[in-house]
Amino acid sequence: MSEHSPISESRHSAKKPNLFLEGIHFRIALTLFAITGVVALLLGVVNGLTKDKIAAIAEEKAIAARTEVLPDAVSFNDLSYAEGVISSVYEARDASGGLLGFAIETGANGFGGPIQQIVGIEVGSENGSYQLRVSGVSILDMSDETPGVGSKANTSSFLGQFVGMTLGILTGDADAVSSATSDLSYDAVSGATYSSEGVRAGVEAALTIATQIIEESGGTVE
Amino acid sequence: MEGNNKKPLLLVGQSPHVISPDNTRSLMLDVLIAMAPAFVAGIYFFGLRVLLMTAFSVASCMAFEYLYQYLMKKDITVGDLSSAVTGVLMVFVLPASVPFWMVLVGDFFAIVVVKQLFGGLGRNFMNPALAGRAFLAGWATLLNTYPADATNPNYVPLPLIKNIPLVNGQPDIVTSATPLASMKAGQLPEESLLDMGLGLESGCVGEVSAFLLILGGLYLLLRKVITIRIPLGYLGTVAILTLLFPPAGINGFTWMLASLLSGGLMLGAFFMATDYSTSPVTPGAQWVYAIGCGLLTFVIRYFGAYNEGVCYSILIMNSTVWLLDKYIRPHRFGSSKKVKAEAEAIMANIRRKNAGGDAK
Amino acid sequence: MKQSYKKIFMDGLLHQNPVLVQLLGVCSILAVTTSLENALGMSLAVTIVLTLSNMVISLLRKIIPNEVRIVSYIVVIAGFVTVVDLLMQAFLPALANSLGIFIPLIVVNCIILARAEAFASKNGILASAVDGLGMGLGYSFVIAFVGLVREILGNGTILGFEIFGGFYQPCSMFIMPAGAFIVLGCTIALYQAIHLRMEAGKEGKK
Repeated sequence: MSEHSPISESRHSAKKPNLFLEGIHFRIALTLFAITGVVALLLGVVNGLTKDKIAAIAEEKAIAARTEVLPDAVSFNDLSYAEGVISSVYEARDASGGLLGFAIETGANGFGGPIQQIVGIEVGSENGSYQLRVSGVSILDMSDETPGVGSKANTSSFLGQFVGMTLGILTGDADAVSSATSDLSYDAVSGATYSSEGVRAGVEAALTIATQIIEESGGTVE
Repeated sequence: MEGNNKKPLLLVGQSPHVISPDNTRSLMLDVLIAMAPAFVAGIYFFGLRVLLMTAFSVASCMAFEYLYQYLMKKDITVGDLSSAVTGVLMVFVLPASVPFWMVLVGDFFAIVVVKQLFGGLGRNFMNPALAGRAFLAGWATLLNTYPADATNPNYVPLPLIKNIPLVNGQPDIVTSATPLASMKAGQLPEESLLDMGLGLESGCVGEVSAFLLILGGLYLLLRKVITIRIPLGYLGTVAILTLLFPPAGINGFTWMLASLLSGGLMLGAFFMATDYSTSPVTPGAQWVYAIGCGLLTFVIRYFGAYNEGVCYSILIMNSTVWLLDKYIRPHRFGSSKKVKAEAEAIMANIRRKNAGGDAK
Repeated sequence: MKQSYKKIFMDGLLHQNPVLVQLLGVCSILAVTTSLENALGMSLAVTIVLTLSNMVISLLRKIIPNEVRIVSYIVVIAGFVTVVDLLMQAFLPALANSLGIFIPLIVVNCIILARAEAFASKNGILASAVDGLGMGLGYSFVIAFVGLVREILGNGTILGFEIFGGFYQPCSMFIMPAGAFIVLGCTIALYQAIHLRMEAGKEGKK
């Protein structure tokens, strides 16, 4: 017996009418189906109209962010790498196809959640070994940080501090700091220790992973 | 507390009909006296600017109260000194370097928004001074910058009247880390326990000298302005929890003493959490309230983003007072558990009889 | 019970204002009013969805079976919200980015469902459209006001432009959630004070 027939007399009648088809339930189901059908059709049409445009905007945004941290790059090649706070790694190449550096998206935890940022890393080579330096940091999304406090980490004066840093300088390695050509140091934004630390941790993770990629391909990093 | 312009000839009031020389004014005077030692210490450690700030804060609190009551055509109750106490406490919970306009904004929020809009003295649901401080958290940089105190070798006197200018978003003064900042990192502060007790540390104006605050607290206890329940429950909870859970490699007892003497804990336990209108009335509820304050302070200090948790834990517990008072009631006079059990047994028998069951 | 369109519109805008009087849709007001720009974007989206869904539900009011009316309303509303969301992402990407999660949440904005249930399902299509527009604009002016106050006090700017020239120190409290409650509470109190005074004035004239 279908659960759609609460009227009990029907069981005793000689000829059992199909309540589902004749009764009120059918009408309800059909109306609801029709409404959802029309709405689904409308959504399909609008999605078809806007899909390409939305995808193009997202792609444009991602390229703009990568180009911002590595302005000289001509093409970016996705290395399909994601682990821990690293969400993606792009290899940047110049017009002649030489390796210029990496654009690495990270999401290290700040005060309220992960801070999505893109870290540009320049690869220079000298005497057979490579040097990795931060070429720029750009915040993609830090909407979980407290507005007016943590969000102050998204300023050029704070993010600019990282430019030129190597992994050694960032982690405070004494040798690396003393041999640095210019005075590079990092100050957290006052009152926003956690957000600053989130940005710093992302930069450190990006430098670490870039070093690892170079070493895996047989190069040595200074 | 409340008065009418036209006094009725016959006053019908609820019991108890006891006439006591205590009134709001004399209670508030006692509180002011109890705060005096810590106030003098604040001036000694942070300079004359503290004196000026306090005078300014008291005057603006009283002015806000007077103006509000005048404009709203209510009875003027500035004379009960409760707004003066709020004015002093407001400065006590701020660093000595905050600009005067911040004191003014905090006073306005405390007196007009938290106290008067909710019905005036006795009707505020939160401690006005602490709520004022919580509002000022909007200027986080200025509120979380602690000037070096007079015992610090780098001490530079704060400008008396001039506001401290901001350079690149940072107040242009010699700052110093508070003991709580290093304790947040799981280390014992550089200051010795004795220094922390005496107040040779950086912090808010009125919170640095734990010993003088305890002295003031004892005066309030002796004068029976407050009872021991709330301070004891609050400090005891923090003491037990910090004794049991010190960071790795630190003696639990030392850590407990450092936790008790640092930050605004003494100020909070004796002067803030005991505020009449924002703490429970019944003894049982007072214990729950005090233990809740201690638990929240511990949780914020250990796991929160802030170094100090006293302000927010008291504010949170303030907002539960109505609930505590409603559900934790003392037994009526003469009703013991035994009497109650007997009465219930009798009632149960009667019910059974009425229901027609066998009453053999 | 025929009401004049003007009365329906003014009810939505003022006398039965969805936020100030009915206290509906408050969650979205608290969440998106961190700046005037966000508030305006949200108000535009809500007004469009509210007017369209009111019209469609009024049109379908004789067809929709009583038993499944809430489901049907939600399907219609969700459809419109998704359309608006997709159009915004395609043509106003910056705004879509800053409003983020709040656009899909219009689906559960109580104002829209409340108007569908209380008005559109009982009235003609034109009256429902006027009601949707009035309620939408009533919501809009409150959300814009709260957004304006919060942006000025919390950031010292209007639509991103510095207005105090460095003299005023923004209080970030106002762009944090606590500030939203304080500003909205004061706005409702202000409205009630003015409303009561006007009512008293009317009584006096009689």
